Amino acid sequence: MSGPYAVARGLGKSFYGKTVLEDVSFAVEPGDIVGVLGKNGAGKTTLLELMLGFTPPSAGGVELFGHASYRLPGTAKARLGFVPQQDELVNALSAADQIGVIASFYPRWDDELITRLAREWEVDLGERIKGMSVGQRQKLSILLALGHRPDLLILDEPVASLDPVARRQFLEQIIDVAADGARSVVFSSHIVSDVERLANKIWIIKDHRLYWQGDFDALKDSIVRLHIRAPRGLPDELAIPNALSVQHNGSGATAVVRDWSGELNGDAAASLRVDVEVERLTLEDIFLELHR
Amino acid sequence: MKAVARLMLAYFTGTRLLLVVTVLGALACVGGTAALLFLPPLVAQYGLPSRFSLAEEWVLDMLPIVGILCVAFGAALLPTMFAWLATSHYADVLPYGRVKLLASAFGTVALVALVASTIASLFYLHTPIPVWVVFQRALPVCLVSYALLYCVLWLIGNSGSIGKLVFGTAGVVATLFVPLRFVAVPTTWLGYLWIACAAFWGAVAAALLLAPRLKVAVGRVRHALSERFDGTSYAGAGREIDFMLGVANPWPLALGQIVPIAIAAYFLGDYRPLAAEAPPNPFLLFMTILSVVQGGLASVAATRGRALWLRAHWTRAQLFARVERAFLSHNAFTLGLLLVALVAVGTYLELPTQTLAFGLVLLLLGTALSTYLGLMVTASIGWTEAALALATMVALMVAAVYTAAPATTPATLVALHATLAAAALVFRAVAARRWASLDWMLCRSERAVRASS
Repeated sequence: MSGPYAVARGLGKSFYGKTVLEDVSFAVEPGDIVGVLGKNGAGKTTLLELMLGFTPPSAGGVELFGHASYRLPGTAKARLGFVPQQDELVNALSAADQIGVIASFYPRWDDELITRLAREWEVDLGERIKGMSVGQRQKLSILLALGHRPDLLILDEPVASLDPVARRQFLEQIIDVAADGARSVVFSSHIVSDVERLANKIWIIKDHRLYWQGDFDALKDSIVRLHIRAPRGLPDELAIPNALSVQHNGSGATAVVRDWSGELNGDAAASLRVDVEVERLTLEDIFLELHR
Repeated sequence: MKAVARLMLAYFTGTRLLLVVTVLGALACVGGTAALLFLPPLVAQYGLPSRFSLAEEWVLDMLPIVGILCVAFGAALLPTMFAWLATSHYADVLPYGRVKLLASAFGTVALVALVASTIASLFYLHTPIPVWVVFQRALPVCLVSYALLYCVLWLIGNSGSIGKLVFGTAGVVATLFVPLRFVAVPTTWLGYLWIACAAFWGAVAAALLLAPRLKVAVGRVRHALSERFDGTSYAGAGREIDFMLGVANPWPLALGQIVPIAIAAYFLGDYRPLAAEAPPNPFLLFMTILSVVQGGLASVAATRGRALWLRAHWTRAQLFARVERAFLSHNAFTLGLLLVALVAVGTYLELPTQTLAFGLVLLLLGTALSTYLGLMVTASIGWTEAALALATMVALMVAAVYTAAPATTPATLVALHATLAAAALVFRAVAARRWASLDWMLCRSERAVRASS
C-alpha cells in the first residue's frame, strides 16, 4: 500500500457538549515517526483513541489503511499495534503465556524478535506478571505491541514508567521498527527530549486543535527567538509580526515568533537600523513558549 | 481458530494449580466414565445385592462427580481473562478480538457442559430412562449453569467484599445443584431449555459484541439524566465520617431489597408443604441471605479508614470504635426494613409464630456476623477469611432451615442462635484486635480491588 496509513479530515470530538478536539486533519505516511505533544488534558489520548477507533468521532473521521477507524476490519487490525497508557495484563499468567495468548490472534508473529528484545530488556518470560514491577510490565506491554511487526504502531505515553536505560533501549527499538521506511509510529509523551530525539514529525495540540503539525526541522525553523537590538532604542509601536511573546529590555527586546520568514519587516525596523539575532530553540523551549 | 484454542488452553492451564486440577479432573472423568460403562450396576442404594461394599460404591459414584467439578474449576481463569479482554483496549485492537473471545468462552463452557452432561447421563445407564433423553435435557441446562458458575467465580475473585464473597459462594452452590432439578423434572418441555440457553448466550454475545456502542449510548443517557436533574438528585445526608466511609446514605441499599423481597413473596405465596417431612418455607432462608449482603460494605472499612485516621488524630482502637458505630448505624436501616418485611411477609405466608420470633433474631445475627466479618478484613482476603465466610454462610443457612422448621424445639433454636451470637462476639474481638495493629500498607486499595484480576 503506497498511500498514507492514517488520514483524518475535520476530526472533532466532544463529550457531552464539552469540546475536546475540533477540526483536526492529518496524514501519517509510511516511515513517519510522529511525536504528539500537549499539556495534560489537551486531548492527546482522545486523539489516539479516535485514531484507533475506540470511540466514534463527533465530527469528521479517521481512516486507517483505507478503512474508517471506528469500523476497522480484522485484517486492518492485524497491521496495527497499540501500547496503552496503563498496562492491561493478566496478573495470573506468566509473561510467556501472556505473549502466547496475544500472539495467537495474529497471522504472523516474530518470536525471534520478542525473545531477543525480552533478553535485551531483561524481561523474564517465565515470571508471573503479578510479581513484575511497573517498569517490567510496561516493557512487556511494548513487546506485545511489537511482536506482529505492525505497520502502524500507536503508543500512549509508552515510556512514563521506564527508567532512563530502558527508555533509551525502547527508543532505539522504535527507530529500528521504522527504519525500513515502510512502518510508522505515532506516540504521545511528556518527555519532550525523547520526542525531540525520536520523532521526525511533531504534532502539538493546543486549544483543542492541532496547533502545529509538520517536520521537526520545519518547526525549529518556524518558531525562533529573536534578540532585537536598536542603538537608538525601540519604539513601542514597533510591530513584530507573529509574535508569541515579547520582552523589552532597555534598548532592545527578546521575542519569540512563529512562521519566522528570515527578516523583520517594516519601514520602522529599517529606519531604526535594528540588529536581529536569531536563536534556534529546543523542542522543550518551543513547547513552553507556545503554552505561556 | 488458533486464538480461540490458545485462549481455551490458557483458561485451563494458565497456572500450575489449574493445570494440576484440570489434569486430575480429566483423569477422574475418564476413570469415572469407565466405571459407569464397564462395571456392573451399583445397586446397593436400592436395597439390592451389591458386588461392592457401600464405601466402594460411594467412591465409584463420586469419582466422575469429582472429575466434573475439577474440570469445571480447572477453567477458573475463564472469568478473569474474559473480563480482562472484554474490558481492555485489546478487545478492540486485536483482530476479531471480541468474536474470538466469545467463541473461546462458549467453547470452554460447552466443553465442560459436554463432559458434565455425558457423565450425568451415564448415571442412568442401567435405569429404564434412556441415556439420550437425559443427555438432551442436561446439555442446555449445563450450558447455562456453568456459564453462571463462571460469572459467580468472577464475582468472588474480583471482589474485596466479604458480602459478595458470601453471596458468590451461595451462587456457586446454587449453580451446581439447581440444574439437577431441571434435569430431573421430565415434565419441563425440552424446547424451553434450549430457548432459555439460546436467550442466555444471545444476551452474552450481544453484550460483548455491542459493548462499544452500548457504552456510548449509556454514557449519553446518564449525561442526559444528570443534566435533567441538574446534579441535584443526590439528597443523601450524613456526617463527614459516614461520607468518608461510604455509609452516609443507607436508603438505596435498604430500599433496593424491596424488589427481591416482593418477588420472593410472590413466588412463595403458594408454597404449601405437601407432607409433614417436606422442607419448610424457604422465605426465611432467602431473608437470611439478604441480611449478610450489607455486611460486605464493611470489608472496605479498613482501606477507607486511613483518610479518617490521618485527619482525626484518633488511635487505631478509637478509629475502630467510630467505624463500628458508623457501620452499625448504617446497617440498622437495612436490618430494620428486613425485620419489618419478615413480619409482614411472614404473616402473609402464614409462617409459625416461633419461626417469626426466632427469624427476627436470626436476621439480626446475620447482619452482625457479616458486619464483623467484613471489619475483620484488614488486608487481602486470604484462605482464613474465605473459609470463615463459607462457614458462616453455611451456619446461617442451617440455622435458617432449623428456624423455619416447625418441628424444631425452642431449646434447639436458642442453642443455635447463642452459638451464632458467640461467633459474632469472637469476630468482633478479632476485628478489634486486627484494627489495633492495622497496617494500611497491607490493605488492598479499592482501585486495586476493582482493577485486579
